[in-house]
Amino acid sequence: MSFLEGLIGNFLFGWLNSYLYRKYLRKRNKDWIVFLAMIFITGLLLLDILIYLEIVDMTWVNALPWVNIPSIQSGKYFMWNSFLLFGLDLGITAQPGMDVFAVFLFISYIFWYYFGSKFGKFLHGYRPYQQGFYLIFRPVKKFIKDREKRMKEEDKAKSNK
Amino acid sequence: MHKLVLVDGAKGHTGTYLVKEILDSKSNWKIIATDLPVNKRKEIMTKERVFSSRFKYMTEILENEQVEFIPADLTIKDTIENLFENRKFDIIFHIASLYDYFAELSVLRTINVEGTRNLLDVISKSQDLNTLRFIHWSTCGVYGEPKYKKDSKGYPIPADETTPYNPPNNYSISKMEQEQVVEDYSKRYNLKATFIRPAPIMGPYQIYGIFHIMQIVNKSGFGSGIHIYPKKKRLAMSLIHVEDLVQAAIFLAEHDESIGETYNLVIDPCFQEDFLEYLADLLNAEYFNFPIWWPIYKAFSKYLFWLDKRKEKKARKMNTRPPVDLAMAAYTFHQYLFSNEKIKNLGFNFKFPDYKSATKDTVEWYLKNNWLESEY
Repeated sequence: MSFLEGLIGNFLFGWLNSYLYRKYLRKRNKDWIVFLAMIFITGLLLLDILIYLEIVDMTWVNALPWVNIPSIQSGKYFMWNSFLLFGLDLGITAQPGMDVFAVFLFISYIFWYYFGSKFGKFLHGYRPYQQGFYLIFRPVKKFIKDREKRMKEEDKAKSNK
Repeated sequence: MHKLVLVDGAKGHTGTYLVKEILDSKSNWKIIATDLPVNKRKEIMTKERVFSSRFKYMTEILENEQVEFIPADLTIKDTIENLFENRKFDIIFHIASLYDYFAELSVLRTINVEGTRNLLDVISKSQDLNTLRFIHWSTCGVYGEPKYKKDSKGYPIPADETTPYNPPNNYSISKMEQEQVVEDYSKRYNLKATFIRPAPIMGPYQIYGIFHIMQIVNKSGFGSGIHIYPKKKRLAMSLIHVEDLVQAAIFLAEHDESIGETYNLVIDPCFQEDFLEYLADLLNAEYFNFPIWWPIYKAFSKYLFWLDKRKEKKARKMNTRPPVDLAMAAYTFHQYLFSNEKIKNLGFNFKFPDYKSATKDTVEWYLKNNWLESEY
């Protein structure tokens, strides 16, 4: 992933992971929130750094007819020109001094993941019984459906007793 | 001294607490408790099942030998007459009302207003009005949002019992009309009535009103502390703990100075943001501060109110109830600030005088009894 895609991806995965954690993983192990963050950030950061340093060669994406990455500094070109894979080529070439910005952007991955995670927590809750602010804004039909389902389950449980 | 007392609405939240309080503190009082027959109650009190599956009041208390339970329906005069046949009561605690913001005004009028009229009709014909004390349960809701007097810095001064009626919703309208019926009978028959106007009630076993705030904070996992600027616009939180409410009712019944008087029953003034912060803390939920300018906050709250209005409309179409009743959403932008000085001056001491003690007692009970979900 290039820089902008990486930042957006971090935010979205932070959000998604927060949801998965609340819904499925916290019940198994409360530390899953840290495991998920470590797995995702390390994986993405490592991949993007390797692309930037041209250890992972990205010229293979030239197989797509709308992509044209130059063979020199292909990794940096790929990283600075976000959305290449979607057909947007801004033609930004690496200049001296841009490496410093690249370092800052790589560091900011962690923060974007954190923002996404926080947003997910805000929207979906943190503990299994919580529903976040979705509770207030969810459609009334969904709320009523959930409530009726819950009431049926409780009636069933009571009659089994 | 031996006394015969009638508690109507005895199967409800406040009713059961009043019976419990009398049993705990007045061993020589004989209680005649009454409420709707089981099926009728289920039909009318839809809120009791919808808002909490764990719902249950302390109705087992009615099986105590000091209590005699006689079912009655205030809208059917014959059933009330049964209650008074061959009995001379010393005190009547008239709690019975349909407390439901979702109910239609016509239903509320039939139960709350006409029901009270029926009750007073029977009382005026069968009871000794020279000795009978009548404690009438009203609500602070009859004031609506009063025009507050301001102190020198521009902060609103809590409204006292002389504040004129301005009921904002159907329930409050029915309670205002109910008060007027009682006042009318008091004048005509010299009924020794005392009016109590409680703020929204909190306490164990409660599943409506303040319970919704607790449920929302607990389920959402967030308590949002909206800090309104300018400070003088900050909204107050009016509350009363159910134990204080029933103790005050008994206290007033025993004080003749309260005859013909009205009393607000509310804790000392506090802000909504302080209450929410403390609630979030007790419920282990996240709390965040959000400073906001009053006009923007008001516009946003009105937008939420409009959303809730739509939800209510949809729910009515689907023949069910919305997540939160509309009248409760109005608390987010109305200033409800009431004074408890009058009852304090009479010598009543609150067991839970502030929001912290009342909230702590309630939340701890909910968590201990799993009425609010928790991991701990």
